[in-house]
Formats: sequence, C-alpha cells, structure tokens
Amino acid sequence: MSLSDDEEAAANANSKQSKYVKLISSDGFEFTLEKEIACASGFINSLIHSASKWEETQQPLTTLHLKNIKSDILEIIVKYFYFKHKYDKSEQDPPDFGATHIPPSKVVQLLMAAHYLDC
Amino acid sequence: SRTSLDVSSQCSKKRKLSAILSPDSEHDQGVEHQPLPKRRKMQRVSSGNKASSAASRRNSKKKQVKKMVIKKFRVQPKLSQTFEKDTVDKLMGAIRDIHAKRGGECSFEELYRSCQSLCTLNKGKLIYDKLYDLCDKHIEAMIGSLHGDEALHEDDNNNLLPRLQDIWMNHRSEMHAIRQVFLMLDRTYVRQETECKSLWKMGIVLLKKHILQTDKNSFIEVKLIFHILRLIELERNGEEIDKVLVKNIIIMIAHLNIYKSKFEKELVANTNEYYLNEGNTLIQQLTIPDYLNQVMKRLDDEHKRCIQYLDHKTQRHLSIAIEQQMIHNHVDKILEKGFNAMCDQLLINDLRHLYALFKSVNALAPLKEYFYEYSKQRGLHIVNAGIDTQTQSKQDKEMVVKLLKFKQSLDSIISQSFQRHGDFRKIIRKSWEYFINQRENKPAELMAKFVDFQLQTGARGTSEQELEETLDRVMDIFRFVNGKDVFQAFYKKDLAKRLLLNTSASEDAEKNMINRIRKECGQTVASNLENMFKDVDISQDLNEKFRLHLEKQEHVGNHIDFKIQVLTSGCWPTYNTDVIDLPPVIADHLQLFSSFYVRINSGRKLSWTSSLSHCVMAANFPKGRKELVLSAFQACVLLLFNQTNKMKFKAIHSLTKISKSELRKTMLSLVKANILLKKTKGMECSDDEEFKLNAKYENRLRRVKVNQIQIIETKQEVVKTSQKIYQDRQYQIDACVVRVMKARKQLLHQQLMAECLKQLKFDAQPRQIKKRIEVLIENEYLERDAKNNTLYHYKA
Repeated sequence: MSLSDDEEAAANANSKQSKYVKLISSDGFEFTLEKEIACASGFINSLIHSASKWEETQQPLTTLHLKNIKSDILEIIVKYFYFKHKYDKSEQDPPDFGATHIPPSKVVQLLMAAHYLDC
Repeated sequence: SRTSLDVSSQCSKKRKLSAILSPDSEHDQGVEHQPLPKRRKMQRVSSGNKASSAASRRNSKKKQVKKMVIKKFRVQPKLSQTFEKDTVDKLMGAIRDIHAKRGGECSFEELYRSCQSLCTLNKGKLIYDKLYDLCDKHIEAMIGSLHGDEALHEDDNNNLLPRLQDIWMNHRSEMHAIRQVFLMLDRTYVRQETECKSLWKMGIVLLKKHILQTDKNSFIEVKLIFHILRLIELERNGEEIDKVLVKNIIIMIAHLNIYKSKFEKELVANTNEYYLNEGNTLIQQLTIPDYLNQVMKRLDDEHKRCIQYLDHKTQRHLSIAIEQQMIHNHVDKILEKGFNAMCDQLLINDLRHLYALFKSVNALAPLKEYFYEYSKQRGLHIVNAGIDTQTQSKQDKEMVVKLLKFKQSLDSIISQSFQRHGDFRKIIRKSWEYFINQRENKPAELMAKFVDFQLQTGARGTSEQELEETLDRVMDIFRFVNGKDVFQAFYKKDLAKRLLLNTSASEDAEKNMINRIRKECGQTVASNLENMFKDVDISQDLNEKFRLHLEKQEHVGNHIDFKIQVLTSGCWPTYNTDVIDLPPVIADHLQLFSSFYVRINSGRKLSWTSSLSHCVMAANFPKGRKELVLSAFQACVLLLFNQTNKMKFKAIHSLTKISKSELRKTMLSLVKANILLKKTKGMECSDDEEFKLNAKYENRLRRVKVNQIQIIETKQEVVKTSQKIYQDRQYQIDACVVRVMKARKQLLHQQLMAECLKQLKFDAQPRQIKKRIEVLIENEYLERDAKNNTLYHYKA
C-alpha cells in the first residue's frame, strides 16, 4: 500500500526543499546528488517521500548521515545511481557495472551497504 | 528473438546493486533474507565462528580465480550492556512521536539502523511485540473517544463519518511511517515467522478489533453503514454529497474486510427498496418514454457511482436491482400503457431502450405478444377502413399506400430497435397473414390497381429507382395474401389495357414486374403475361407487312393510318366481340386485313373487338378545327351527326348496332365532354332521349382526348372481374375434388374437405366446397355411400 497521491503531493509541496540530497559517509565525505537519482535506493526514496517529519528532511537540503558506510563504498554506490539512471531509460544494453567499477576487495562491504540501502 | 532479448536486457538494466554484487543469491521481494553476518561493526554474540566461515565460503564462490581469506577478529568487539535496552527505548520513543505527530527530532537513518541492528541481534520478536502493544494502546485511545461520545449514537448526527475518516487517514499515515522505519523488521523477522503478520496487516487487525469490537455491541459498524447508505440515498435524490469522504470510508471498509460480507448486502437491500418505491411512483406519473429514460439514467448513475466510490464488483448487483424493481415488476404496465403509442410515433430510440431493458430482465415474451397485437390491430384498421360503403372508394384508394407505409415503419422498428430479432419478423408474418386476408380479395385487387397506376405514364414524378423500390415493397406485402389469383386476374386486365392503349410508362419496368410475379406466383402465370408482350411485338410486325401489302396492291380508296393488334385469345382477358356497324372506310380495311392475315396464318379465325379500338378524328366545329381522340363507339356515334344535328337514342342504337348498355355509357361520356348536349340532367338516358350536337363546342387544346372512359375502370368492370374470379375458383374446386377422389377412390367427408383445403391455393370456404360436392354428385362424378352418409365414392 502506499499513500494516496494527494498526501505525497502535499508532503512535497510543503517542504521548500532543493532538489538535491546530501549523503555523508561514516568518515565525513559528503556526496551531493539530485534527489531523483538518489531515489534508486529504496531507503532514500522512502525517506524523501515520507509524509512524516524526520530530522533529515527538516533542513532545506536533505542530509543523510550514513554512519555505517565508508566513503569508498559510498562512492561506488553513488556511481551506481548514475549508472542506473543513465541506462534505465535508454535502449542500449548497459555495460557490465560490476566488472568496471567493483574491485573485489570491496565486494562484501558493498553488498552489505546495498542491502541496507535497498538498492 | 528480439522481444525476449529486450525483456532480459530490461531486467538486467534494473538490477539492483546488490544483485550485481551477488549473482547467485536472488534479490526478489518474496525470498527470505538471510541475516548477513557483520564483521566490522557488530558481531553476533553467539555465533562468531560461524560468521566468518560462512563469509569465506561465500566469498570463495564469487570470483573464480581470486581467493580471499578473511581473518577473524582478534578481539571481539563488545556491545555495551545497555545497548539493547537503549535502542529499544529509542525506537519506542520514535513510535510515540509518530503517534503524537511530533516529528523532526529523530533521525530517520538512525532509527532505521537501530532497527536493523536489533534484527540482526535476533531481537525481532521483542520489537515486534512491543510495537504491537504500543499500537494497540494508541488505536484503542483513538477509537475510545468515538465509543465514549454519546452524541454519535444519534441518527442524525453527521459527525461519525468525518471522524472515522480522520481516524482512518491518521492510521494510514502513521502505519506508513512506522513501516518505513521498521522496514527491516518487515523484511526479516516477519518473513521468517509464518504466523506473524506484516506490520500493515497488524495495524489493520488492531483497527478492526477496536472499531468493530465484536464482543461489545458494535454501534460503530451499524451506524457507519447506516450513514453511508443515507448519503447514497441523498445523492440518488439529487443532492450533492462529499464523494471523497464516502470513497475513503469505503476504502477503509474494504481494508477492514467487511465490504463484501456486511456492507454490500445492506447496500443491495437498500437499493432494491429505493428503486421499488421509485418504480411504483414514477410508473404512474411519467409517460413511458420518459420512464424508460429515467431507468437508463438511473443505470448510468449507479455505474458512475461504482466508478467513483464503490467497488466495481458491486455494479452488477446494483444494475440487477434497478432492472428488477423498475422494469421487471412493471412489465405489463409498461407495455399496456405506452407500447402502442411508441410504435405509432416511431420513437425508435425509446423502443431500443425498451428492448434492451426487457431483454436483460428476460421479458421478451410479453413484448412479442404486444407487438403481435399491435401489428394485427393497426393492420386490421387499415384494411377495414373502407368497409363502410360511404367512404369506401376513397379509403380503399389509400389502403395500399397506408399498408406500405405501415410495413415500412414496422420493418424499421425491428431493424433499428429490436436488433433484427428473427422472432419479431415471424410475428410480422403471422399478424399480416391474419389481417390482410380478413377482407377477402380486396387487398389483392387494390394492390393490382396500385401497381397498374404506378406503371402508367400518369405516374410521373418518381424516379426509376423509386418505382422499382415501391414495386418491391408491394410484392413484399403481396406475399402475405392468400388469394393470389385475384391479383393475377386484375393485373392481367390492367396490363392488357396498358398495352393496347399504349399507356405503359416503361417497358423495363413492365418486364421487371413480370419477373416479380414469376417469383411469387409461378412460371405459368408469368409466361401468360409474357405472351401478351409477344403478341404486341408480332402485331407490330404484321402492321408493317400489311402496309407494304397495301402499297403493292395500289388499293384505291381512302387511305387511313391503320394499326391492328392481334391478340391470342387464351392469354388476353376476354372481350366483347359483338359486331357493330362501322363506317364503310374502316369496315373495308378490316376486311382487307382479315384476308391478308388468313393468307399468312391459315387455320386461324379473327374476331374484331371494337370496345378497345380508338381513333383520331378531325372535327370542324364552328369555333375551330379540333382533333378528337375517340373510342370506336364514340366515333361511330359522332359520324352519324355528320348527317343531322339531332338524334334520338333509339335511332342511334339501331344504326350503329352497339349494345344498349355500351351505348348508354358512350353517350354519357360524349355529353360529359360537352360535344353533345342532352335534354335531361344527370345520368339518365332513356330510349327516347334526344341528343344534339353542341355547336358552341370549344376547347383550349387542339387535340382532345375523349376516350378516357376506356382507360378508367368502372365499378361494373370490377364486378365483372370478381365474378370471373369466383367462377374460376369454382372450376378449381371441382377439379381438385375430382382429382382427390380419383386418387383415393373413397373418402370421408371430413377428409375430403381437409385435402381440398390443403391443395387449393386460395382461401376456400367450406360452404363453397360442400356446394360443389353436391353439384358433382348431381353430375354423377361422385356418389354417397348407401350406409354411411359421410362417405363418398369415386364414380369412374
């Protein structure tokens, strides 16, 4: 189930938010990206579109502290967001993301972060 | 193929990152998630060893070549003692905030993470139970206010629904927020425990428990349904209601699972009652077309209602309710009150509604009955309109036209409103066969006259196509007539006149008509008629030859333009062949032709028919020279006036040798044309009547047609033809009886009657047949059995 369209619209209309969201990793690196792209993650998506008031969304620029994700992992994740956004709409076959961007050493951590963020 | 490739590439594009990372674990919604071992942050207190070995096993599966070794922590990270309690408190605090609509103080991410931590520590059940308790208490408080409010028990208190709507919307948003925070719980613990409900469902269960309160007397449920039904009724009466409110309440009802079981039943019952009342009142007040429109409007309304706020599955029940109450209960009344009027006025659309509605309540049978009655009544009315002899001829003239129009309207009703249903066409056939034969012979005779009129040159003004269409339609209704020989007799007579007097409009039209007759009445009749055409053609030939013959002969004498028609006596109607005294010039020519003809066709005998002959005569009146088109009789009479100005009837009769009755007609026609004057007024014409030539005769036309009398059919002619038909029928009956008896040798009276009635092509009266049997017995064709009075024997 999801909220009716009216509620979502109301939620978005009320907040005078910029269309960017800032993701901060555990070691302090800040990644600023568009909300639409960050919504590839189910976690971030439900936060942004939630009707309730959360600390993160109260500020003009939505800031999300991801205290259990390191910066290098977060970097790969953000790259994935853009990758997905680019190839979701186009007709061509996407190149293999895993081969190009995921070094084997980071695989496990990346897997856990992905599970956490639901993406 | 290409499409399958696309699908798979689509799937691959939308792959989650986690799917990319672990290709052999499915990342679908419905699959259990294994709690992942965590190494850096927290560690499962109980199974530290297992974690690392599981991780190493998994990692070794990933990349084929590289092998990773993950070492255990040397020092186990410790959890603070109060970690669990703190986290749980934090979570519960957050929930309280959500319930109280306080917000903005907790970090979503932090809560989410906390929930996830607790889940991995196997504290899922703990959280779930606490969550359940909190929600339970909160919802109970929310609803409690409703139960406590005495004012809401009142029927006319409108506040119940809005407050319920508020509660419902709150509940939705709260549960949504809670679920977002506790997403991990939903995905891990709840999935594992089969008996555990998802958070959303849990919320619903609690809500239902408190709202409906099955142990106490649940006034909310009853009142809730009551209010909704009342609102719906208001809307049906035309008032505006808050549709959003109703829609939300209905959604709530649907989620609480009482839509189908409780609400829908009440709704349908309520609907039935409402439309029962409406049907009963409106059927008296409205005309039937309006009533039908109202029903259609109601059906439409309910349909819209279902789209707007009810469940679409209810649609069918509501439609049935309307149809039952408003149509099914009033079928007879509707038909009785308005059917005939609608058909008369050809309200095609309204009839279409009627048909559709009746079809859905299975009431087509009474509709068919009424249609049959209507067709019969109206048809009888048209046919019998001329029975009253006062207005007979006028009414009868219009009968065929009216019949054609009537048939057209019936046909259009069937094709446009009744969807060309075969049964209705059968009904038309039955009803027409009934009423068209009620007035014996007249319709057939009138149809023949009508066709005759159409085929004459006088009927200009219709295009060829229209003419053909009209004749087709006449044939259409001719099919229903039983006594087809009447039509044939009159048609033949009229055709003969047309051919001889050259009044036929188009030969093509004539030929087409013959084809139609061939289809309806058979080949023999048609070939008879075709022979008449042949005769005309042959006569044309003969005329040519005769003219050449005359020229060769160098005949001395008055030369007149002279045309002969030779008629084969069998094909043409019988005409009077009395010999009259023709002027010498004409008599000479006739003699010449006779000898000429006999020479060519030896063995044939010619007899002259003067009644149909006509001529053009030059007349010098004092006021001007005129050309008169006269019938032979008229010409003979007028030539007598060359010698004298006045003559008595007796004298004319003896000189011309025309029969008295014909002569009377002729004289009267001449008087009517103002060429002759007579003493007495009116139609009287005794033997001593004196006729005088009109010296003052004048006419603005140079060429005057005086022989109209030949063209127009008189009453006597009709009577004569009818008698002939009657005579023919008697012969047919005789022939039929003898034929049957010859085959069977002996038959009972009843059987003989039955056989004859079956075989005769026209409607014979049993009386007639009985009389003919008597005659045949007298003439010794049959004899009665000595012992059995009803048995007949064939006498060879």
